[in-house]
Amino acid sequence: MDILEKLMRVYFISDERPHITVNKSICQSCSSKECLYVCPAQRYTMEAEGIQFVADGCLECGACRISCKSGAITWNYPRGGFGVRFRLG
Amino acid sequence: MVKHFDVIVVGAGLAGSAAALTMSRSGLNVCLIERATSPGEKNVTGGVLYGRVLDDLITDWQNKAPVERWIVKNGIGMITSKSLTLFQFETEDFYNPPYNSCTINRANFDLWLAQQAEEAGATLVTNTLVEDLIFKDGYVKGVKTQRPDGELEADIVICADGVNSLLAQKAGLRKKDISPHEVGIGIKEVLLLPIEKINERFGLEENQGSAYEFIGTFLNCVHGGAFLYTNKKTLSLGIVVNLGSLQKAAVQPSMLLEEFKGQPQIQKFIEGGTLVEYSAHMVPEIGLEMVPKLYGNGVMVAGDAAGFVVTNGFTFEGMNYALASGKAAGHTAVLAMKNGDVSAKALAAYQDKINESFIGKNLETYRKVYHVLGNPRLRQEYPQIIEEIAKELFLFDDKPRIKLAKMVRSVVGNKVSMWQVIRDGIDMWRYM
Ligand SMILES: Cc1cc2nc3c(=O)[nH]c(=O)nc-3n(C[C@H](O)[C@H](O)[C@H](O)COP(=O)(O)OP(=O)(O)OC[C@H]3O[C@@H](n4cnc5c(N)ncnc54)[C@H](O)[C@@H]3O)c2cc1C
Ligand code: SF4
Ligand code: SF4
Repeated sequence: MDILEKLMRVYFISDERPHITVNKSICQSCSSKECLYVCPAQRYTMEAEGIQFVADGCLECGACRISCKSGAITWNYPRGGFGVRFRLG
Repeated sequence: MVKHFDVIVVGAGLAGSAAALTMSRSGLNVCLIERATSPGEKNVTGGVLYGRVLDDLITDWQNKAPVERWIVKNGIGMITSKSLTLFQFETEDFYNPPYNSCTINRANFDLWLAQQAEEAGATLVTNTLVEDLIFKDGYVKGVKTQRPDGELEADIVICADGVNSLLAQKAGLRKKDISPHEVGIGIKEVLLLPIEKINERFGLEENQGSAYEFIGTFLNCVHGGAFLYTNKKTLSLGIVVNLGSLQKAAVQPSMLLEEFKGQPQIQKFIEGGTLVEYSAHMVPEIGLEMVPKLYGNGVMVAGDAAGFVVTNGFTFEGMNYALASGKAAGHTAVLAMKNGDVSAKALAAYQDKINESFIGKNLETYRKVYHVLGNPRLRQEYPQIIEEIAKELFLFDDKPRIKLAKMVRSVVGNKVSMWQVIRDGIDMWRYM
C-alpha cells in the first residue's frame, strides 16, 4: 500500500492557507535534502523542476522542521481546528 | 477587557490535562487551551500506558477510563529475515486489578481526561492555537492565541505543548531547538481485526492484552525498534526510529515500517487486518540531556515539552511521565498561588518534585542508554547470533552436539569479535 492510500485513511480539515511553506530557491543549492527522507507522509518530492511540497496530508509531526538545516522551511502548526484529526491516535 | 485566569495550561494532552485537573481540584481558576477540535485528535502514542500514576488523581480510574485492553503479556523479540526469537513475560500478578498497564488510544483517552479537568472546574478552550507568550516585567503573564482579541492573562502559564515545544523556546526555557539526533520519529498503523482472531493469535481472553517490542535486521542499521500492541478490536503497530540516524542512512521511515510488516513472523500476527488509521509523531529520545530549564518567572514546562520520556531500549515510557509531571507542575502552581509568589524562585519547587519522583530518578538511571542504543550491532549482528544459537538449541539433526558454551563462542566469533561482545556487554550492563 503506498503512502497516498494510507493517508486516505486519515481525516483532515484542510486550510486554504498552508501552515508550512518552503522557499524553493534555497532548496536549489541544498545537497543533503533531508526533507525527502524524514517526512512520514512523503509531502516532499523531487520533481524535474526541483523540490515540491504539498501541505495537505501533513501529519504535523515536525520532523521536517528540525531536519532542514538551510532555513528553507517556515513551519507552523495549522490554525486552531484545522489540519489532521486522528480518530484513534 | 482581557480575561484573567490563575493559570493557563497550553495543550490538553496528558501532561496538560493532569495539571489542569490537579489545580482545578484545589480551587484555582484554570484555562486549558488546545489547538485540536477535540483533545487527543493531534496526539499519537504506541499505546501502552503504565497508568498507576493516575491512582491518586482519579479514584477508581481503572473502571472509568476508556481503556482498550489490560496488558498481561509483555515480550521482546529479535527478528531476522527468517526467524523471530521471542522473550516473553507473563505473570498471574497481571491478571487482576489493579492492573499494571493497559493499551489506550489517545482520541478517546485524552478527551476523557480533559473532561475530568472540566468537571473539576477548568475552562477547556479547543480549536485554539497559542502563538506566543505575553511577557511583563520579566514574568510570563499570559498567552496570545490566534483568535480575534485572543489575549488571555494568567499568573502562571504551564507549557504542556508536546515534543516540538515551541512555547518552551519562547519562554526562554529551551535555549536551543530540539535536534534530529535527540528525537525519534514514530509511525504507526492501526489494523482492524475480529476480536476472536486477536485473542486466538496472541493467546488472550476477553479484555486481556499483549505488548511486544522488536528489533532486528529489518531496521537496516537505523537506530530504533518496532512495536505491536493489542487493542479491543484493533492492533497498533509501528516503528520508532532516531531521526538523525534515519537522515544518515537516507531511508524513509515508511519503508522501514513496510519491511517490519513484511517479516514472515509478523505477518502471522497481522494477516487480514484492515488499515483504519496511519499516524506519525516525534518522541524525545535521549532523556536527561535534552531536558530544558523547567521553570521561570510565571512559567513551567511539563511532559514531552520537557523531554520527559524514558526508554530502556525497547519500550518508551512518556505518558506516565507526562501525567506525573503535569501533576507535579499543578501542585507547584497551587502552592505558589497560595503564597502569592510565582517567581522562578518559588516555582523551583517543581524541579525538586521532579528530582524526588520516579521522573528524575529514572531519567538519571537511564541517562546513557541512548549511547548503547546507537550501537548498530544491536540490530544486525546480535539478532543473527541469537537466531543461530536458538537454531542450535532447538534444531535436531544427526550431527553430534557440541557443548553450549563452545557453540555460543563459535557462533558469536563468526560475526563479532569476542572483545567487541564483552565491550558491548559491559556498556549494556552499565547503562541499560
Ligand atoms: C510512536 C510512539 C509510540 C509511543 N509509545 C509509547 C508507549 O507505548 N507508552 C508511553 O508511555 N509513551 C509512549 N510514547 C510517548 C508518549 O506518547 C508521549 O510521551 C506522550 O504523548 C506525551 O504527552 P504530552 O501530554 O506531554 O504531549 P502531547 O500528547 O504531545 O500533548 C501536547 C498537546 O498540546 C497541544 N498543543 C501543542 N502546541 C499547542 C499550541 N501552541 N496551542 C494549543 N495547543 C497546543 C497538542 O495538540 C497536544 O494535544 C510514544 C510516542 C510515540 C510517538
Ligand atoms: S532539506 Fe530544506 S533546503 Fe534541503 S531540499 Fe529539503 S526543504 Fe529544501
Ligand atoms: S510536519 Fe511531518 S508530516 Fe508534515 S510535512 Fe513535515 S515531516 Fe511531513
